[in-house]
Amino acid sequence: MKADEKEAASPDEISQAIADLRKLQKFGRFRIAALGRLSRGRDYEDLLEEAMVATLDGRRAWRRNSVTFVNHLMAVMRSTSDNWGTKEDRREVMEVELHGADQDEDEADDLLGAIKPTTAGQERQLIEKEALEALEASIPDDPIAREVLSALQLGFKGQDLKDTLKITEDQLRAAMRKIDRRAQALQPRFAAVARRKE
Amino acid sequence: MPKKQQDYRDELREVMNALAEAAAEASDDELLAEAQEGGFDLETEAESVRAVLRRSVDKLRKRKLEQARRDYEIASFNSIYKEVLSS
Repeated sequence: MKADEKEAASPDEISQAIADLRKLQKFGRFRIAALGRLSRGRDYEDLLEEAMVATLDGRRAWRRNSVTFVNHLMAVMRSTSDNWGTKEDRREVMEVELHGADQDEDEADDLLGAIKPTTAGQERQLIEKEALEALEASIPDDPIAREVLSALQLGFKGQDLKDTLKITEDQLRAAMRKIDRRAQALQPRFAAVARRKE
Repeated sequence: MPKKQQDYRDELREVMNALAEAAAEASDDELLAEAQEGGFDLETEAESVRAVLRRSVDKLRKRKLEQARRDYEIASFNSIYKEVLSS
């Protein structure tokens, strides 16, 4: 056997690698979509890159005996996107407060200050509302998937969700698969929410 | 009753995070089947992830070089400073 043949990945190894890549992409894209406009234009590649750099420079240690590399990266992506969300959320609150502070100083600015955040807020709200409605509308023929989607919106998860809706694990998985596919098809719409920077 | 602004953001976040967790728990078979059904261009997708990995390594390398340069400048300054003091 030639050296090249020995080093070449087997079909199983290639399948494993493809599945790992897909998992990282899907996970990253949904985490960015979850941030919505708080992502401030960042995409899943930025999130994955940050997880890689944090691991390489030692800020986030990979405990390789207890977790796979892909699971480690997803854990770092999870906490990083949470941090981005919290930081941007605080910044938004501060920006609104600053507009409020301007209002005290000048009566003319007062009007602008009052209008600016409200208008931008209404626009953002509309985009988020439309994205959710598009997702709901994409599963008109599946009452279980629609109920699962509504329950997710309210924050239900796992066993609580199954108990509340009185559905089996298989029904939940099928519904999640359907919502997942539809959400992926609507990805440009969610990306539009994420691109909103103000 | 109309929903408050915060509600839509929270609802969207809950749904997308739940989908992210479902992706994290998905089996290899599910992911591969989905990739095939969706007609994804696996080579393009794989290249996009490889590009991210390359950029991460480049970024880290640059950061280390910058740190080494800063360390060198500080060491040089300290050495000159000591010479000036001792002269």
